[in-house]
Amino acid sequence: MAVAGKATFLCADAGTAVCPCFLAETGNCVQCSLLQGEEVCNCRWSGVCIYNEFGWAGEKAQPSREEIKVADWQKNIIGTDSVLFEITVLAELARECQQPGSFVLIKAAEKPSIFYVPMTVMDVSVSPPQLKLAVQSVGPKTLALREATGDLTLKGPYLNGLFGVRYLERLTNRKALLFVRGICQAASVPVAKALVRQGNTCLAVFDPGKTEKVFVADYYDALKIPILEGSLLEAEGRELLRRLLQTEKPDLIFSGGSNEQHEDILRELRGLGLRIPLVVTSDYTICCGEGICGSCQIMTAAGQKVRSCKARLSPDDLWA
Amino acid sequence: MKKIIVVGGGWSGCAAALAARKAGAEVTLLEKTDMLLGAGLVGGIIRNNGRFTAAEEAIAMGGGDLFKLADATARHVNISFPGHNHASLYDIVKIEPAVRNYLLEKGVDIRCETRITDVSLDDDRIVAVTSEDGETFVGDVFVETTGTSGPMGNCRKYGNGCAMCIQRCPAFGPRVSLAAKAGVKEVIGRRLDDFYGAMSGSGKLNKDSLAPDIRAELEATGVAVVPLPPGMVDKKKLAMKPCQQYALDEFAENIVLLDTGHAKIMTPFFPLAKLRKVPGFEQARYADPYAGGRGNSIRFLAMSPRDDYLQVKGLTNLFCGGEKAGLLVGHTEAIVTGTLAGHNAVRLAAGQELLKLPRTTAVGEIIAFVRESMATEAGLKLKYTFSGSVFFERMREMELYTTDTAAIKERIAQADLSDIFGRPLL
Repeated sequence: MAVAGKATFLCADAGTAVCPCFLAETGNCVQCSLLQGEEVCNCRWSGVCIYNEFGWAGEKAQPSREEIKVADWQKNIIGTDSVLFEITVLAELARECQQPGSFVLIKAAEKPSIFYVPMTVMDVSVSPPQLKLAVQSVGPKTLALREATGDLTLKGPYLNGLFGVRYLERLTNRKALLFVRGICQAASVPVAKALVRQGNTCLAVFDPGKTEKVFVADYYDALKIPILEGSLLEAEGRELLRRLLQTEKPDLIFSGGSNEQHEDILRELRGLGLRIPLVVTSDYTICCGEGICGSCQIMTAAGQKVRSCKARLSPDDLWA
Repeated sequence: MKKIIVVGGGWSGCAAALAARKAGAEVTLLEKTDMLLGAGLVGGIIRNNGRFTAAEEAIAMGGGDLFKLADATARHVNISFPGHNHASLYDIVKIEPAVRNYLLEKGVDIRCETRITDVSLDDDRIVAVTSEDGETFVGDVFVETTGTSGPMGNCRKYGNGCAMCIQRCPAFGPRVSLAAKAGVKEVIGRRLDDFYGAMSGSGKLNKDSLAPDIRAELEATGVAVVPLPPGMVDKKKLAMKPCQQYALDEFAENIVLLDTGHAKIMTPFFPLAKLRKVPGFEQARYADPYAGGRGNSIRFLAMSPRDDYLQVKGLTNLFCGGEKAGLLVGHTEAIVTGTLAGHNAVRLAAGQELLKLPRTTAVGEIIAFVRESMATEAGLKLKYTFSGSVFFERMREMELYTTDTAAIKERIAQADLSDIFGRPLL
C-alpha cells in the first residue's frame, strides 16, 4: 500500500507572520501547488490561502525573521562540552518559542552571519521573557558561541525542529514513552511539558551520552515523570525498549537523538508489528532556516526532495 | 456486506450514497464541511425546462427520492422566468435537514467535518482514504463527488479572489481531489475567452435588504425581473458564467431575482455600490457569497476522465458524479449522475455487470454527450445542462424533452429500467 502521487507537505511556517516567504517568489513554496507552478490548486493547508496572501502582498515575500541583538544573557557550564545559555529577549519572541520543536539561530554578535547555528529552545519563561538553550560544542559555530562574551544576535522562532509533531498535538489522556540521548535532552523538555499539559502519563529513558549527566532532571521531577537510564544504541537499551513496549503499552513514542536512534526504534516497532506514532527530533543540517540555502534538503522515502526546515514531515515520510 | 465510501456530500454525493444504500451496500458519506448539499445550500432551481424530464426519468427509474424531497420543500412550483418554464424553487433553508434526516433514516453513515486528504492505493485500486485528522476509511468501491469549485487558490488565480462562498474553504479546508491524489490526470474546463474554469453564476441577496414591492413580488410569484438603468448593462459578464442556460440577453438587461429563501440574483457578481444605484436595491446586501459584490467561486478545474458507467479511467474501483463527471451544471445533473455512480459502485463490488443508461433517455444522453464533447477543445468551453443552452436544444431536437410524465414512464419501461435504482442488488 502506498500513498499515491506527489505528496504535499504542510509547511511549518504556513499562515505565520513570515508567510508567504521567499520560496513563494522563487516558485518553491512547500505548500502551494499554484506557487510551485502547477495549473490548479491542490493544497492541504486549511488556513488562509497562501496564494491569496501572496497576491495581496503584491507578489512579494513577507520580511523574514529579524536579527535581534541581545546584551542580557548568561551561561552556565553543564558538562565538559555543554553550556546552558539563559537569554533575555522580547516577550513576543518568548511567547512565539513555546511550541515544541521551536529553535532559534544564534551567534556572537561580532561574528559574521555564517556563524549562525540552530539551537533548540529548551525552556521559555514569559515573565521575565527568557529563553534557555543548551549548547553542546562540537564544531566551529558551537565552539565560537561557547566562547562568546559580548552581545549575541539571534533570529527566530523557527518551528520545524520535530517530525511527527501532529501526533504529539493530538495525544490527550494517553501514555507516552520518551527516549532521549545527549544534548537532545533540551528538545525533550517542551515535548514532556506538552504531553503532561495534555493529560498524558509519561515515562522517560535517558542516555546522557557526551553530556555526561541528565541535566534536565529537575524539569522531569517537576512534571512527575519517572526517569530510567539506558542507551538505545546498545543491546541492553534495546531490550529495555522491548520490555517497556510490553509493560507500558505506549500510545506515542518520542525519540530525541540521532537518526540512528530514531531508525532503531522504528525498526523495533515494525519488527513487532506495532504502529505506534513516533515523534522525533530533526537530525538534519540547518543553515539559513528559510528554505533558501538548500543545506536542509533531504529525500523522502518516496524519493521526493523536500526542505526539512519547512516541511512538516512524519517519520513514516522519512523511513519506508 | 460490501462497503461503499462516498467522498463529498453535495447533491451528487447524497444521491450516490442513497443509491448505493438502496442497492444493498453499507455506505459511509464523507463531507468536509458541517452541512450536506454543498452548492445545493445556495441553489434551489429544479424542474426548469429539460430538468423536468430528467427528474421524472429518475423517479421512474426508482432514483427520485431526492427530487421528491426537493418538491416537498418547494417555495414556488411551476413558475416561469426568462427562457425557463415550469421551474420549482426549493427552500434552501429547509432542504438540508430534510435530506440529512432522510439519508440517516435509510442507514447512510454520514461523517461531516471529515476532509479527505490522502488515498492509499494497491496498484490501480483504491484501498482506503484518510482524513486530515488521520482517520482511515477502508472500502470496496469509492465514489468521488467532491465537485470542482474552489479552492481559494483557484478562485484567486482564475477569479476575483475568495468571495467567501458556502464552501467556506478557510474554515473547513480546501477541496482535495481524490482522483488527482490517486494519480489521475484531470480535465480542466475553459471559458469562452480561453481562460481556465468558470465563475459560479448566481448569488443571494438578503431579501430583507430589498424594497418592499420587490420582496412582495418575489414572495407572491417566486420571480422579480427588474430592468437595469441604461448604461449599467454588461453583456460581457454572461460569458463568465458556467450556467449558459442563463447567459441570455434578458439576464444582462435586467436583474433577475428568484425566491429560494433568499433572493437569488442571477449574475456571477454585481458590485454593491453599483447595485445600490438600482431603484429598489438601495439597501441591498449579499447573503451568499458574502463578497458577492466582488466575485464568486471558480469551478470546473478538476474533472475526472470517465466512461458512461461513470467509472474513472485509470483506476479500477472509483466512480464519479456531479461536476467531477464533467462540465455539468445544476442540482438535477448532480443527482442523476450521482445516482448512477452510487448504483454502479455496488454493481462493481458485487461483481455484476455495470449499468449504462441508453441514449433514448435524457439522462443517458447527457452522460454520453458530455463525455464525447469534452474530448474536443470547443466542447471544453461549453457547459451542459438539461435546462438550456446546447444540451436543451439537443434534447428538443432528439425529442427527449417532454413534460408528459406518463410518456417518460413509458420511455423508461421501454428501456427496461423501471425501478432499476429501487431494487436491491445484494
